[in-house]
Amino acid sequence: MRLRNQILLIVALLAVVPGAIMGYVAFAQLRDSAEEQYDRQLDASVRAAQRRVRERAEHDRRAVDRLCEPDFVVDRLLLDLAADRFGPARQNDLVEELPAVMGSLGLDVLTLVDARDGRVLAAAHYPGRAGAVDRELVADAERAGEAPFVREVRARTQGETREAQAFLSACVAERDGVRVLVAGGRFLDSVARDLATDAGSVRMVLTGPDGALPPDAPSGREPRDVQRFTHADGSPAALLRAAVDDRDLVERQRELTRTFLWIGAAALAASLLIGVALSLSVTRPLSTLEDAANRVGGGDLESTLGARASVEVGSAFRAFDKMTRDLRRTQEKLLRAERIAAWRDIARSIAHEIKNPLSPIQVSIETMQKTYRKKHPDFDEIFWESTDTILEEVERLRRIVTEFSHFARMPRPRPEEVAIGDVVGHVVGLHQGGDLQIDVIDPGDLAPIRADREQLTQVLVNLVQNAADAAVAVHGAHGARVRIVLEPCDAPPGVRVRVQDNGPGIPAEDRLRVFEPYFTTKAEGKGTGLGLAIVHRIASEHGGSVEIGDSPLGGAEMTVLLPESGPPPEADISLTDTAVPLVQKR
Amino acid sequence: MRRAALPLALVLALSVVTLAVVPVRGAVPPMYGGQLRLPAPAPVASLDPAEANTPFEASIAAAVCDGLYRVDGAGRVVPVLAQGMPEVQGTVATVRLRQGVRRHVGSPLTPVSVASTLRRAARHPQAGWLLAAFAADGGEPDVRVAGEDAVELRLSAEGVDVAQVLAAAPLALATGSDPRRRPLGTGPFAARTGGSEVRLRAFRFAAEGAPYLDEIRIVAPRAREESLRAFELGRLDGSWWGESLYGGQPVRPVASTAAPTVAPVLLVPNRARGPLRDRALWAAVGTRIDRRRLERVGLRAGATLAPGLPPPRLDASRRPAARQALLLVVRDGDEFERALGEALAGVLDEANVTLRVEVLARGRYEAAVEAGRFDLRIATVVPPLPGPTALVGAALAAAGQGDLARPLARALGDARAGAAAAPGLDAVVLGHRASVLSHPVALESVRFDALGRLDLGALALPREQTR
Repeated sequence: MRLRNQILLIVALLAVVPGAIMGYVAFAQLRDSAEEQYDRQLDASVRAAQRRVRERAEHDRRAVDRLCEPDFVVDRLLLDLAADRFGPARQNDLVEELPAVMGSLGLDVLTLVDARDGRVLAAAHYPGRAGAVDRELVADAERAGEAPFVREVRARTQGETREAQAFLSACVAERDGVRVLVAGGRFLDSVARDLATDAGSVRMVLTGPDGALPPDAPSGREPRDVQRFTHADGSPAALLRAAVDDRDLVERQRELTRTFLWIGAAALAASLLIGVALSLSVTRPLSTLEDAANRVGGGDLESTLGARASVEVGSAFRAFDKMTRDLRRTQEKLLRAERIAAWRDIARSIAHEIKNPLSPIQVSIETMQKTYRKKHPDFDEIFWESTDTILEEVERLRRIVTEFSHFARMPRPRPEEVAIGDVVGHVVGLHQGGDLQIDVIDPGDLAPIRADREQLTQVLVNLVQNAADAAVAVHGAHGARVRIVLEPCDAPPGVRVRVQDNGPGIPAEDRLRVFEPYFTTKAEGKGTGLGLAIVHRIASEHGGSVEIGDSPLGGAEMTVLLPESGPPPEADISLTDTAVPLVQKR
Repeated sequence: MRRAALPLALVLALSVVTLAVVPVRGAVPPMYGGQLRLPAPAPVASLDPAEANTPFEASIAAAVCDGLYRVDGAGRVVPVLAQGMPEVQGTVATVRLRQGVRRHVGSPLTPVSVASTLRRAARHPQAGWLLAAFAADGGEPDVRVAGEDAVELRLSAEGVDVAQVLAAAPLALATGSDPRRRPLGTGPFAARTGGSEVRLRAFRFAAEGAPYLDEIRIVAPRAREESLRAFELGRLDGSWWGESLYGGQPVRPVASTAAPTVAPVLLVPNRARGPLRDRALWAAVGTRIDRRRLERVGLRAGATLAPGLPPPRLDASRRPAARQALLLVVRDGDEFERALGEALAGVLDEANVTLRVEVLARGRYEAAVEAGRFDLRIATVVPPLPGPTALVGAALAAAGQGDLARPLARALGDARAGAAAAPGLDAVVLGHRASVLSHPVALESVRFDALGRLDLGALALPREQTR
């Protein structure tokens, strides 16, 4: 794992793990505290609800009893019934009046029934019941006596019929043999609703006799029984249960979770930022150092890092800069030494080249002197032979000097847009008509490059000539093969020219020296040893390079890389690179 | 002496002139006038005679508009706006108008008014079925103006009693651009609707003579308790809810006058769609109505449209096994319909039917009925003419069975035709509307006619009690 990632991970863990532990502890404490609170609340609510149910039952009892005591409505009803005056109009008056009476008594249900025959005289909760017969209500009231009882009741609200269980109290008002049953009370579900509004987070749930909670009932804690309701015959009718509505707690826990998650996310983000900053402060100097080392490794000894604020980093950078300076000085010394050695080699080569003709010249002159002194009879012939030799060698000396002079005074390239295929075609054309077979593989879509056309022609002429000489030396003119392969090059963008032959190839020990001036493997007098040195120099001056490899044809392969951009500015061409190719470029 | 006789002569002359211009109703014109405030038992939706849906609406329409003919107390058809009885030749009847009759705007009544009234009436179900007595001309009765004072009616068949048809209350002449709110008639009162009130102002040039009262204000219906209290305190001159709020003796002397129970109230099913397409269910609902339990809301129990008529045909059926839910639509503000709907809910509850009562404003009510978005509705039949056949025809029209009603228009005088058609009524008769108007004893001439209409033109107050 990279150092940067390691630092990030460590910082993130340091930020998140303590937060997670704190969150868990807070959760646990909140839950325990809330559960204790709910238990207390549930107990208190159950007691309060039981008290309220009792109070309301007593209230309903009193309200119904009030109607059975001397009361304007019921008394007048009894009088009308006794006098047989209770006709439809009077009944309608009662039906119209009774809802107001029911409302004033705080009841949901109020029915007046003729206890003699069960005829409903008026029902405030259901006006349409007036005139119906309900003997069961009379029977239920008699069975229940003073005790409240539960009954299924249908009621009308805004044109709709509703059926629900009602908790009723009943009494009988009597006068002159007329008995009117007054039954009133309230719906059990409204009792439960009213109690629920009193009980805060505790919800009162009305269940069937079995106490099974409906699916939407709260399920926070174990529900408690508040009140059992029975029918008039004592059979169970309904059960009021108290259950904790823990949605508040759940919601609070969710809120806390959200808060912790936000805090955690913020802490994580902050830690990541800090981690990134920290890792950058540590790894950036290392990267800088790595880049500088790579540049130095690439030969850029001018690269320096300068001072840094951090003591440790600054010290390391200063050490690196000192090392680079030392390396530069050492290399300069080495270069100077190498240059001197190179010139010495050149001087030695030139001396050798020059020395070779000197010996025949000297021998020829000494021979002429000896034969002249001895009046040798063949002096004339010897004279002409010696002077011919001297002239030949002098000519050779002149050629050596001319070529060296030419090599030393090679002009700067004059770049122009050049289609490399055209140049190759021109060079191959020079060899047309001979026995040598030269193949060209040209993709045909190579982009033109910037180059000096003449120098490029010279490069290809030299390479093709060398390849041809090598191949002919092995296979003769008919078996020699030379192939020129043109390829595009991506990095840097340009063209790669491969010149392959089926000659003997270049031994590995010679590959380091073939670009040195006056190095040749050809027979004496066959080559000057400057051809590949010129190739190397031209390629270098065009920003390219020359490489030696093995040819798929069996001989050597010379690869010239020419960048599309052409020769670099003059200042970028190092004297060392161009004039004295001591190190083979790869 | 001569100087004293001059003012006396002047007074005498003024008295003579005054007596000459004051309209007279009877042989001895009473010196009455003043204003009366009567509550409407239900919202007055229309003053157009052709659209009267309740006996009270018909009462107002009758006070504003006269017909060409009317049926008098003895059951005879007598001309009102017509000069005499129609002249019938084959299938063409000619009716000549009485001369000098003015409409409420002061212009004379013309044959054009007659023709436009009859053509407009054809668009209303309550009146339209009666016009089947006349030949149709592009969906309208073939009525033509014949000269300056006559109309020519083409009959759908020979033998049609033209005078009787034209005596029907819905065919009273009402003109004007908005007959529903301001019909222009020739009756004793000119009507104007303003806000929730209807104002009836005395029309001096009424064809049948000017009314006794200067004005009758018909105030919007109120809740029972409020209405009773207002009557008891003298802020209203009538009550449809009884005499006193608490059933005791009212503060001032009060009398009650009952209307004849001639207006049947129908429970009309929607047989085109909904659960009542099932004939067995409809029969189960229709046969299980305990009418005595509906009496308290102002119905006189009865299962037939009128005594002697057979009841609507309903098959015997069992109580629905599963509870059925039905929708009853009632008109907003019509306390009678609402109370009757609630009473029906209780009655049908025991027949295993849950009734939902939806109160709709007039426009929405009419749209719901038109679109068939109901299961049940309540319709009050306003008899257009005395006699069973007219009542059956009106009941069929009110139940949306106009096609069955139209043939009856040609046989209004034949009681057997009505009796034969009555079983075909696809509705249940819940009873007859029992209207009782409580009023101060001082209010004179409180009377209802044979069609259950209050004769507003006859109401009179002693001068000392007028406002």
